[in-house]
Amino acid sequence: MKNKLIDHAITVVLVAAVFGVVYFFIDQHTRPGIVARQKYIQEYIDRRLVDWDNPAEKAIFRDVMIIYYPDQETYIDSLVQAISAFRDQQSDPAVKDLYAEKQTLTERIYRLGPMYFQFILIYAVVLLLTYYAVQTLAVWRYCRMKQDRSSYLLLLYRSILNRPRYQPVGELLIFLLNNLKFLALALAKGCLYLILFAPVYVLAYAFKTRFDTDSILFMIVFGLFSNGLLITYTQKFYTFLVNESRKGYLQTALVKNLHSSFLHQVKDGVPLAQIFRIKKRFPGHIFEHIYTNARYLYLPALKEQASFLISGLIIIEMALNIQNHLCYDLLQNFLFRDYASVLLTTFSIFLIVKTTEVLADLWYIKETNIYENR
Amino acid sequence: MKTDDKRITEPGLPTLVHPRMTDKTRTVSRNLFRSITIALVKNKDMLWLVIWILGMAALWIWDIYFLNAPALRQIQYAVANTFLISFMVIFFSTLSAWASVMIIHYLESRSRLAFLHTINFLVNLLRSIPQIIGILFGYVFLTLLMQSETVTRPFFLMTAMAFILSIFIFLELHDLLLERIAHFKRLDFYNAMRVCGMSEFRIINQEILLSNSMGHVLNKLIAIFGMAVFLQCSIDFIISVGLAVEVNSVNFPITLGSLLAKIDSKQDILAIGYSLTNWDYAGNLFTRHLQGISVALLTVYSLLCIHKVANAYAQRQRL
Repeated sequence: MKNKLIDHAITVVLVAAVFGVVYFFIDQHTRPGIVARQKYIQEYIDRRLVDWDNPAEKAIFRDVMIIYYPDQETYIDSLVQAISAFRDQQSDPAVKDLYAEKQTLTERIYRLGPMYFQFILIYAVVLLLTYYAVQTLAVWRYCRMKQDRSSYLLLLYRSILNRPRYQPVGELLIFLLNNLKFLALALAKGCLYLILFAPVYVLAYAFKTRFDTDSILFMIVFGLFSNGLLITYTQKFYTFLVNESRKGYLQTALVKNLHSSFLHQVKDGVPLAQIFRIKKRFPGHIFEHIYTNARYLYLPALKEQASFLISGLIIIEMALNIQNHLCYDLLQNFLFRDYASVLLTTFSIFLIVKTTEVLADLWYIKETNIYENR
Repeated sequence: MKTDDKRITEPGLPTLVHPRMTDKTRTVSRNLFRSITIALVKNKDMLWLVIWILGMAALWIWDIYFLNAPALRQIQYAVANTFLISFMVIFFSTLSAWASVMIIHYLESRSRLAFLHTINFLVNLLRSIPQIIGILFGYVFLTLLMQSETVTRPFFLMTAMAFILSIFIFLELHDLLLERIAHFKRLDFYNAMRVCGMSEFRIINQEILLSNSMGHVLNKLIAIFGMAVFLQCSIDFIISVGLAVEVNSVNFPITLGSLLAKIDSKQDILAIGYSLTNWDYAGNLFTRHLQGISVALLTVYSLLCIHKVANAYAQRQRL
């Protein structure tokens, strides 16, 4: 335990030292971002041919440029956006002041601080929710597997294969309705899978016309349900459950007459209410042991899950351009070439990852001590 | 079988079999179909691979009929580039993971602890940087190289993109290889071979990694392919949406992510939300909004199928 903590501490100190040196070097040798960027677009702003406040003229400028440079459409879009953004910033005194002059370290920390704590809050909430959801879904799926449930498409196939040749109209209707039900359930499952695997920018744009996707609530929802996070780690936990169920100690547990039914409604089964509880307990059932051991094995994977989650949250903030959020600000700093701020934000995110790693390691060591009766 | 044959030979009963098809050909084709079906049902990883390819082929055929030629060409390039880069990521990741594992093993066996700690520190440092931020830094560096005209050709550019992605992905394979070696080192297997005079290099590469870990490695490589597609699409989308306002003459090769970030595609995706409450508009999604829908579907569908292939493969090999 001590060695692990020392390892983490050394890493943090070394990385802080490297970041510190690079930060001060960059801070001394770079100009404020807006000044650096201005030189690229100044010539277009200076030309009086286009009235940049007029959307029609802006569109005509874009189209004309595309006619002359057909292979540079992305670049031209970028150019038009950059000019608009620059003009907006010029008219907004707060933003103008922010990027026009070089900021000190204290000013940067003061600016990033609230966004950083907001990011930590969202991250902590989503991490807790995913930890609960991953285990719940994996347990539910495992119980379904043990119940020998077939997929809806297979049920549909079997139903069609075993159809009676001649049947009265009423029975035929029931047969058709049953098949329709299987088909609808299979389609719904397919759609759910597609949603869970969809990268956040696909989901967000698909729902943008219906909801305000820039709110914190939506960040939490997207963090939980997008980018394949939930499904990937549910599969991981499920694999641990399956691997545990193959081990020999379960035979001993069965001989000792522990319950082994995985049906939900029966007395000696696995009740649904227990599956959805935060602290899952299955007393007197072999699944209690399978679950406890799988949960222990999953703890190291929690670091991986946390890292993937942070990547997901960063993608959400950057791809959806959620203003006044840490990673949107990071992207803006890349844009304004304020690399000192970029380094500061990156280091702050590194600290979140490291803290999660330390906490996960401590938890794992604590559980190991319990297992080994220390 | 008998009933079917009887029906075919009985006069007056309709038959769906081509008149020129002989009994032998019919039996062969039927058996072939049956054996393929059984093989696919047994090997679900292959089944998902076939589903993936067929799905993409179906979408491509649909696009040929309903999507305009320039957009179709862009989608074809985007798909080809995305998958090519992802395959290159697999190559670089394998190479990096193998090299790092060999170095670690060499340093461990020679007790060069200072170097070993340095390598472990660097690996842990890479692990602690969120992949997307690391890749973003890599792309900024790549942009600088492009601006200085060090990298200009699209193929080199894609290779560089794959290399950057692999730096932040190879750790998964690296961990797996170390885990496999550690597992076999704990068994008598390893010591027995050492006693027989086999070199460590051969034991690790030939006996442990090639002969006894190929299933695990292949499963991880499939997962890496999926991760590469996801990260590449995400970073290209972010760059196209966020960093594209950086005015420079640099254009990255078109990929699914960058194509999705185009305003046309985004409007197509927005139409999905609109059609959720206006059902009568939903039909237009498959004809008028095909560019964005196709790109989004290709991305999501590929990620889903790759995940399914990896899981089914792990299940079949009992990994």
